[in-house]
Amino acid sequence: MSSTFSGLSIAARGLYSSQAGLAVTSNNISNVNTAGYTRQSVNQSSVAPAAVYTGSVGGGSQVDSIDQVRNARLDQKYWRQNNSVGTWEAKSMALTEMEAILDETSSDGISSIMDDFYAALEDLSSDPSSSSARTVVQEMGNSICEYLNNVSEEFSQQRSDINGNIKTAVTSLNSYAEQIADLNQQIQVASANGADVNELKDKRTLLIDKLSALANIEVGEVMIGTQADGTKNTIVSITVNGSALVSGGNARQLAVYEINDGSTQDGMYGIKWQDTSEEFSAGGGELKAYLEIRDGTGAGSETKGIPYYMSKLDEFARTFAMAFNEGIYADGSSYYSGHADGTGADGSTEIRFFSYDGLSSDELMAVGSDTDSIYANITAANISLSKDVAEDVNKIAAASADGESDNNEVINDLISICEDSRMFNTGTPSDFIGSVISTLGTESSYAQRLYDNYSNILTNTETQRSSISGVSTNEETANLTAYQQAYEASAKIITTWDEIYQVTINLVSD
Amino acid sequence: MRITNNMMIASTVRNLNNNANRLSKAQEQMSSQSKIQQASDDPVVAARAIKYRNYVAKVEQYQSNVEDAISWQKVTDSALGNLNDVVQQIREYAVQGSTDSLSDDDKQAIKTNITQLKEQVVEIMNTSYAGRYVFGGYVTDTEPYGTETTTVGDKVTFKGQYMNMGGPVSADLSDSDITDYVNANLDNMYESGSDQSIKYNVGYGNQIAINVEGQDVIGEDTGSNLIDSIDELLLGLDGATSYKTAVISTDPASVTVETTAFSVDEVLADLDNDIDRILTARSDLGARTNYLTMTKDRLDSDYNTYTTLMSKNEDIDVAEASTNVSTAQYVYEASLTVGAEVISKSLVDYIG
Repeated sequence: MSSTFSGLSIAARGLYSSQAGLAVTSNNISNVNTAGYTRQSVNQSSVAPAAVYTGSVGGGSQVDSIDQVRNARLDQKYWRQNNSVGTWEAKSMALTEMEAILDETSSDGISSIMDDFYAALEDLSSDPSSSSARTVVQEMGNSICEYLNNVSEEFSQQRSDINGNIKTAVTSLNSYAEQIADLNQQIQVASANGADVNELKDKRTLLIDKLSALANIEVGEVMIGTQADGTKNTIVSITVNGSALVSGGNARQLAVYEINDGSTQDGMYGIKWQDTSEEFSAGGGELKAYLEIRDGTGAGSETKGIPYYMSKLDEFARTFAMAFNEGIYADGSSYYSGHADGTGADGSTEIRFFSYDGLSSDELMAVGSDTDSIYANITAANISLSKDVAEDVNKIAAASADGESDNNEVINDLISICEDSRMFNTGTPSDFIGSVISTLGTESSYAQRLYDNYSNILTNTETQRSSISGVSTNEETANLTAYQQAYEASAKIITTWDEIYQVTINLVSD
Repeated sequence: MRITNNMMIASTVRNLNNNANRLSKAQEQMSSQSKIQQASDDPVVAARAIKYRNYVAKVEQYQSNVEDAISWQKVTDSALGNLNDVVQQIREYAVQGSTDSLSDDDKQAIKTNITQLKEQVVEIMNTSYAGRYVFGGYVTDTEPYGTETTTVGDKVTFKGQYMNMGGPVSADLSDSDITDYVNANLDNMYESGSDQSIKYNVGYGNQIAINVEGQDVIGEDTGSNLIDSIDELLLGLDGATSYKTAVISTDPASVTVETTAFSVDEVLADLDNDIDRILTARSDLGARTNYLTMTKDRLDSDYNTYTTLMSKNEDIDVAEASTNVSTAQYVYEASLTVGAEVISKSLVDYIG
């Protein structure tokens, strides 16, 4: 026989359970748009009867715990993929910017400037006595120099912007690591007190999401105890490319320092661990992409970063200037007379057309002992017309001898040089530029394609995560109705028992 | 699969984004009329674009060079035509002058005419094209030919030097006058000029000489050039039967005077040689002009080929592009409408 008032206590338990359900549903609905929020559900069970005998009835329901609906495997997957997305997003953005700097597909990139220069030389060749044709050659020569100067300047600017990004990324990484360590600690304390840590876990997951885009991280869970109900309490430990970043409540910090070793990275930021001063290696993510774009020389299997393209432009400036001035190609061979072998309209000889930093021909020739050491000074950043040519168009050497106004032998040689496929090992100057452009284009489209691919994969994982952990208002509304009805029903049961007790009590008094 | 609100919103936003992206790409192509905005849009097309643009720019330049060369050669050709007429006229006068029955007055009249024609020869040889003297080799900024009066009579200069220094002079002059003149002006003697053909690029690795040099028209060797022939003729018309020439040798340096007997009849043969030289120069020029005209036709067709290739490579097909724009626009609008419908509805709307 069941106890007289057991009905009332069963109904009261029903009220509590429904109330908890209503509260969890409300919480879910109010967090429907909260970033990183994991849907919670009521873990409810039935209560066994107080005593066991034939015909005994259960004791109603009880709430065991409020659980997060989450799949840890998907989180790991998300972090791994987000790392690739971070890498390729940063790379493709940087490469797209570089393409914009080279600006080749529009009609004012280097190849059209070269075409204009070439056309100006042809015009001068058809009329070497014309000073307007000379002026055009001077202007177009200057355009080549200015184009190279600008591109080089913009590449340097982009490089220092990326350097700044690296510092920002390191700061974010430090801040995330610290916040994650703090949360670990809070979770540890709270769970030791038996408090609910669902929201803290959500925050931590969100931070790890962000961290995973920056560097290649490995996330491990360490069990720190078991709650009364059997739920395992864990804190996360994070390693970056094998080195510990967060363990428990401790976060290690990274520090940036200015590299000062005379290499191409001079003046740029290096990253090291603050406590051990060991070099930091990102292993992947945005940080690695930034470092690769900033430092990649393209040597061996290295990424073709900004230094690679800058060195290509330098090679172009140097080789072209030497070939045009001296008629000597990079391999030392010579097939035509150069500008210095010709005679200007004013009878001047030994004039160099290109120079650097506005040096005159004499000053240029005095900076080194041989042709190679002289021209090693010319870069895309500093190439200029020589002072002589910049000041006087009559110094442009079209003729092979003095006093012959229509002698165009040297200018014809210069034209031949401009279209000689022996100048570079990839061919003519425009072939060389073409190959640089198409290398950049191919690298950039490869980066964009990988970014798109990884984004799609990540989206898929995100969808799966959202499918499991996200809040559905439809579901919550349905739950709301269910819990509400259950609550109303339990309340009705209490009324019913009340009436029954009334009847019983009245029977007694009669 | 469980579908949550965030999933629906995220996928709606993602798809709207994709569609907007597609629309923006389509519009970009349409408004720029170009398939590629950046090399990474299609590296192959971009690399080819550089190549084709380079070809087209070069062909354009070659075309303008050819035009310029042809104009130059037309001027040269008509000058050579005029020169031929003038020399033919001189020859006719020479035929007349060789007639013994002619009176001295008549001979003097013919001489006057020939002197004038000689001046014309010099004038024609100073023909210019766009301010540049076409017969001067590389020296185009000063008149190549001139006439100077010297102690041994009028002498013609070429590029500022006496071109027929040792040429025929009146036998009345003393040998010492002649040697004195020669010795005094030895520095100014024209010696056969180096090849000064002005070359234009008219194709890849294809240069053509556009000019005819004066010495190839007039001749440059003493005794076998047009000026010497005319000078002999003039002397003959004065009744001379011999002329003196200076033989100048440089190693060892010596100047000796030779006296040669001649008649006007003999000058005719020289003039025929001179006319031959002019005709040879003219037909050589004609052959080159012909070649240029052919080159021009070839360049025109190259230009068409390359511009077509360039256009095919990088220009959009307008019909296709505008279809793409309309499709992208339609899809975008449709996704906006559907997206707005879907994410605004939930069970809440239907519970009383």
